[in-house]
Amino acid sequence: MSSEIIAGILSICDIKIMLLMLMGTIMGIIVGAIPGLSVTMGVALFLPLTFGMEPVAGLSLLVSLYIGGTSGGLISAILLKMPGTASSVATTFDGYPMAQKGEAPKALGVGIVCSFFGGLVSYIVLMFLAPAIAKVALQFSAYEYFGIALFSMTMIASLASDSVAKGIIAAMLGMTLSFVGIAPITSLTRFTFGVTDLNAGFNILPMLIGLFAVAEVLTAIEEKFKKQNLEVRACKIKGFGFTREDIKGQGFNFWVSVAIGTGIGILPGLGGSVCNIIAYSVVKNHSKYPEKFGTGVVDGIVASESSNNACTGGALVPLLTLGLPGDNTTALILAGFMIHGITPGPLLFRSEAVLVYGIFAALIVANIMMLIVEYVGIRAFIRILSVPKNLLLPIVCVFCVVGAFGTNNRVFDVAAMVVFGVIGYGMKKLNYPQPPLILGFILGPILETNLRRGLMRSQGSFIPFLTSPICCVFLIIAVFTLAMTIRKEVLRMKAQKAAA
Amino acid sequence: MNKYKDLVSGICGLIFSAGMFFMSIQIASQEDSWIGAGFLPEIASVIMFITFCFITYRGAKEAKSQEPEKDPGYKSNYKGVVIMLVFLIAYAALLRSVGFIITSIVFLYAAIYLMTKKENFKPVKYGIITVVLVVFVDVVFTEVFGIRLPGGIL
Repeated sequence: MSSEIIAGILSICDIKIMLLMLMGTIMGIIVGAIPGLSVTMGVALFLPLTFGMEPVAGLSLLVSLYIGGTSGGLISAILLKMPGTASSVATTFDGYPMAQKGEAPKALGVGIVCSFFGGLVSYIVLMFLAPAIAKVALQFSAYEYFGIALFSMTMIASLASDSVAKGIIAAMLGMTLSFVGIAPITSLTRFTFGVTDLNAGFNILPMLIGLFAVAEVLTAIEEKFKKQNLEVRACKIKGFGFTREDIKGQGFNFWVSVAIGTGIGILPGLGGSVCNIIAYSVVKNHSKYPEKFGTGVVDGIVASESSNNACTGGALVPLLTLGLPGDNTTALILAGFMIHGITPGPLLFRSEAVLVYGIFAALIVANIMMLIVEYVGIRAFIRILSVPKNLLLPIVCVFCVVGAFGTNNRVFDVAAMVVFGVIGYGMKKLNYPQPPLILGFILGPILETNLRRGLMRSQGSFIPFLTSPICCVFLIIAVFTLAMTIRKEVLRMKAQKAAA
Repeated sequence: MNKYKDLVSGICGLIFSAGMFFMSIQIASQEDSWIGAGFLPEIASVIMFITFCFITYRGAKEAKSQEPEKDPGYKSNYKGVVIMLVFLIAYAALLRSVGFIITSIVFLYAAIYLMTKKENFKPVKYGIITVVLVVFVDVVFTEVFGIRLPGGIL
């Protein structure tokens, strides 16, 4: 095995491959940072280029794009409150408030370093434990997925800052929006009102851009005469922008988030968009100062960024060991294997061991490149903040429109983005939290598909949901979390009453 | 006005969730199985309805209270918000027929004008920024990323 690892490492030690990986990482960061240009789109753009390359070179390029793209989303999430990818949603919760307070370099620095270490740990896990983990993941059926999705839904409580009731409503609204279009399993059209464009449902990217960026622009216009909104925040940066003191005590947050990211990444169909929010919620729940989350604390960025990059390693486990892509991006990487006549699966580690270890080495090298490129880039990224807001916000709007349009090349998505902007603005004004809406929208289809699939399998009986040990454990945790949430809310209301 | 927020949103929410529940029943009636496409929408609408009842009740109690409203510390510019929304809707509506370059230039210039204090507005400088930026975005997206933005009348 050691000779195969060395041969794998040596296979990427070529100047051409290194340059390809550097280009892939930079392009990945760019497509990740610009809302509307997804990692999937970046990989799809470069996939045809890999036809004429050696398998190790082509696949190294694709994984570099994947790593750069997953991490790049943090830049626009922190600086503009515009998550470049769905896996950076939770980064906006504390990243943007930090940027508002003049701590953008610190937020970016912590995000970049956590992305690096989060990715690194998950690649090491992938390298040594992939086949064993894949066997466990394969045991997961509709019951287990339903249990996980339901448990994740109970995380709403920690995402709702003021009122749990409003958090539940936001999550249900998100779920309702996910119902629009063709229903899973039976393919019945729901809530489309005869609009053909709604048959495919709403895309998450116009929704994210609308809820966060457009709503932010509208709020800034409303507060036009609030002086601080037109001020330019000058930021100075030294090193990665943070000191050892800033990340003191973040070890637990980091390891928990990495475990969540890797674990969720392994399960096909969940991915980075879910794990960053779950990791954020778990870290917030365990924090000594949960009330500070959302106001600009480093803990939130540690959770989000270490988990979403850890997810990339996890997502490659079922791909390499079982040939199962967990999402669109890994499906394209699978296509990258196929066009070179390589079929990922249990035999890959024997038949193409050198290539597999070459890819592992490429993952680690691309991760290091991502760290260096973003470290160099921090100084350029924060210059965005020196653009006066009266210019920056309209420019952001144009990028929002391009991003929404670029998702599916449809003007409908631009219109949807504007509508979600109004919804986001309304929610802000009425004090309804936006993050549970995103969580509901992402988890809705997973919950519904697996509930219906499970009930079809059990011929309408709920018993298998309780007899499956994994599902049962998650259901018990979900009930416990819900009970604790209700208790917390009752105590909070009593305290409010007493104060009045 | 702030103290009526929950009451108003609660009542609107009750109407919305009731409407959704009846639509979900109609969806469910199209299928033989009880666990069909309407099942989860029904559950979601019931949860929403119950929670909105709670919000409405709390909102009604809040509206009755005589506490003075908090001053946000700034003058809200709702007129600006409405104008920006009109700009965005017009931008989305005309994007396909007029084209990305023209609509974006007009939108960007108008939005900058809206967000800048009249005495600070520099028509020529902002005009140049607008044109250069929009053309740059169009070229990058079309040539580099292969995303064809609407050409419209150009």
